[in-house]
Amino acid sequence: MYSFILLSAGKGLRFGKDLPKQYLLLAGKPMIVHTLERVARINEIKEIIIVCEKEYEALIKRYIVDYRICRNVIFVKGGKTRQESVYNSLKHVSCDNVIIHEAARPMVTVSDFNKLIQCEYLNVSYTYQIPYTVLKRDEANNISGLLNREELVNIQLPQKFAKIDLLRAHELSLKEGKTFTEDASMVYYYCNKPIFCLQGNPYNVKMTEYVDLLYGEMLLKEEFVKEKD
Amino acid sequence: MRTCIITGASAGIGRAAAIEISRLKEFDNIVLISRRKDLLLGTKQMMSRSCNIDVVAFDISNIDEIPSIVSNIYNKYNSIDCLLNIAGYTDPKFLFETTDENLLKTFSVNVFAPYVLCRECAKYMKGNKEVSKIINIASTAGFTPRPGWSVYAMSKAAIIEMSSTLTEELSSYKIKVYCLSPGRCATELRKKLASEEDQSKIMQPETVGKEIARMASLAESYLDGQNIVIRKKF
Repeated sequence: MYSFILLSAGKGLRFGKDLPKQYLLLAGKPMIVHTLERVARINEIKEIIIVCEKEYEALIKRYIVDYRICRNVIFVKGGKTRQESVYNSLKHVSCDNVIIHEAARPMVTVSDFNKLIQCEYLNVSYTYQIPYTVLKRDEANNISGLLNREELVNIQLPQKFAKIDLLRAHELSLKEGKTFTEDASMVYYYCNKPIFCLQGNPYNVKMTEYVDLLYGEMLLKEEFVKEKD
Repeated sequence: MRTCIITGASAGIGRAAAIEISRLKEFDNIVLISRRKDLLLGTKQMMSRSCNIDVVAFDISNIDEIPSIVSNIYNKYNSIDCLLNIAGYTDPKFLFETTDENLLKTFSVNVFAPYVLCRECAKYMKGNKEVSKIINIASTAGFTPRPGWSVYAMSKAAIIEMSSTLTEELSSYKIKVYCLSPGRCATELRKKLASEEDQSKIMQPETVGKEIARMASLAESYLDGQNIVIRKKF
């Protein structure tokens, strides 16, 4: 069984709205609800841990009632950083395995979660190829090195980890005062265990700009995001 | 177990639809809703006995009570698969004679109750594995201006737009929303709108009932999301 951590503590400042983006309407319903409804259909997920600012807890609780999300939901206060938020939520995880997702990726499908769960490896991340050239830049804003894009991947959530590995990585990074922008990097750095790369999907994009809501609505109307299973 | 809820099942199109739906043999339970229990029992007598038929005497204009009515049905049968919003009301008047009470009652029965029924039923339907269906009965009055019919026409126009919007909202849950707009049909409601009309010469409720049953059957897949007009040509 899995504990599901949903990161929803972001403020979404780039959206320029009073409400963080994960609570704005996407195709008529709050962005976070798209993920919650899909997760609620997965039997292998025992509990949903939502990391959010305290002030939005009541709002999410209302969504859970209105959209009839019949699952055990635990609320955890967001940390100062994404890393701290994940660490806070790990203290409430009761399963041996954890799936992490972010509310700002509402196009994730039930099939994406199922493939992650069915994958034989314990530590797995969706990744997507980088379709453009990426170079190194120095402090003086000059190109300082080349990178081979064939060797690079773009990390996409959701990810799954063995709780023991993820917790160890977080505790070690806390001890060393080292910060990471996501968890696959951290588990790779501290645990010396393989992290399998599952082929990600072009539609599972992160909503970062307000215009993404418009693209998102178009994507949600398409059959490949609308799941019939 | 598949369950179908029908409002306005005591007479006219609602009764005809109930009879036809009972012949489909696609539903294990059919729940008939209307204010008059005696008339509902009359409908029940005319239906095929191949399924369980339940009657609920309830005035749908009591909108606050709809959530508990729907949850009672779900708790009893453990499924809600089809909702037929057929109950209707009209008291046709010219603008100057239309009272606030008339306006509110017409919208309560024709718009607010169907909307709340859609909302409450869809909360249960969204967990269904098979396709679920909502069929809303509008009217050609919803897009045809006639003096004295303003409130009724407004309410039916609302049902047409409600149906097309809910088609989009609910498609990801495999809930299909249909909108059927009958033209002149020999019902008690029609008598209020056109009292001098010879009802034997216009479309009969049975014709509409058959079409509703066809839409409610799992075999129908492509008529949702549109305002389907059914009328007799002269």
